[in-house]
Amino acid sequence: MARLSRKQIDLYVGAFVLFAVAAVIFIALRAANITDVATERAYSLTVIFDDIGGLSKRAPVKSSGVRVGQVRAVAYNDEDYHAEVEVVIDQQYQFPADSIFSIVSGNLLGGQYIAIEVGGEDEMLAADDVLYGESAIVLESLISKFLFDEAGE
Amino acid sequence: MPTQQPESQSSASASPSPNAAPPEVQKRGRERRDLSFRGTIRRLGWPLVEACYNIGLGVHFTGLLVWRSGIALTRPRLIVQNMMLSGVHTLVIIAIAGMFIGLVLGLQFYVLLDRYGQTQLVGAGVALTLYRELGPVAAGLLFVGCACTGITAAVGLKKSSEQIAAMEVMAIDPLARELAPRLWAAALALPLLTIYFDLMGIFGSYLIAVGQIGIDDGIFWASIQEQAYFYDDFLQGIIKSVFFGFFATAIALYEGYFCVPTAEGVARATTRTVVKGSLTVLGLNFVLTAFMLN
Repeated sequence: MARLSRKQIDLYVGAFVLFAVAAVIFIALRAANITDVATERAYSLTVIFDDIGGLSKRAPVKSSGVRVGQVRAVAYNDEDYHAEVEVVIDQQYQFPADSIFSIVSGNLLGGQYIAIEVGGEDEMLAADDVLYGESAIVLESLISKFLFDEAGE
Repeated sequence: MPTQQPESQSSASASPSPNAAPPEVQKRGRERRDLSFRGTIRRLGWPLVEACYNIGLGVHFTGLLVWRSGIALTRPRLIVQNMMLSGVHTLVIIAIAGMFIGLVLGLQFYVLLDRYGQTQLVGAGVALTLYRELGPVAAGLLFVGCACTGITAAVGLKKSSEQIAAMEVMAIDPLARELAPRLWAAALALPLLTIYFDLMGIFGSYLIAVGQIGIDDGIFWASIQEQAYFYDDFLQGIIKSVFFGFFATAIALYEGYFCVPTAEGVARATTRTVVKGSLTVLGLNFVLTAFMLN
């Protein structure tokens, strides 16, 4: 290796660092999810479910199939014995107070998300509201219900 | 040192009788015969004691390096010079390796996901694999093989040609002036190299998935954006690589500084650097991942 002058070393190392910074910016903007639902431009709601099925943190919240927010936390309330799901929704989307939050499956393999069925009330949901959601459909209970209905006839 | 004890005993017992076998023969025979309880315990226990001693010395040495890195941190030129060696010269192998890994990941994920009809997730699979595990670990292993061996060889050579002793004579602290800058340069260089590795991997899988297989360009990027998170996935890998760079380089410096100051000794030290460095990267990866997932 030819001996490099100080200036050349500075140049190479500078370029090395600079391109790495450029790569991080590229990854942040293009190949990773940095501009998710930002906390300062979103409001959070608490939705209570009897059964959340396979819903997990960071699951999307969709209305008419469009992503409007995400699940921030899932907790269990051991006083009232139900699940409390903290949901953050982008500030630009407002929903009537009687909207129904239900847990549905994206496909058969899983990937559950919360779907918002828009209500008709004039009053809108505000930050930190608590509302009751429709539980996830558990396939096993559906099947057993169907079987017992058949047997009852 | 306890290992030298049997030798001195044997030569002492051999000296009185002139008809006895040569000392080295007798020594070998004595060692083989030493099947007493004490001898067995000593033979079994010594490697353990030695390992403890080496680990303690290594930790002490690393602590000393960090303690004396004041000069390195106040004179950034030293770090820049060493980043040239450990960073820029390793970049080519990192970039090419990342490209190939990305190509093969793209292919494998396509084959796997095609069975479930989920080929739109190829980009996400590759990105998560690279960001979370493969990027830091593969870049770390390559870094051990490329940069850390160079560090061991350079330090070992300085020791064997008595440059380190000469520095001490000139009242220059070799730890602060020569070794600590290498440590910090490597701890900085490896995260940057990991970023390049991730980027090239994504680019390689893009070539396969979009260019070769024909997955839609928009779907490829959208699946990555939907599944891979900048803080939870990408930055986690980069944080891991800081630890990999620090500890692998600490091992390289230790091996170089305490090597037997001959050509063969330096060669052996370099081999040990690769073995210990690679295992450290892999072991540390498990520990850090377990920590981060909790």
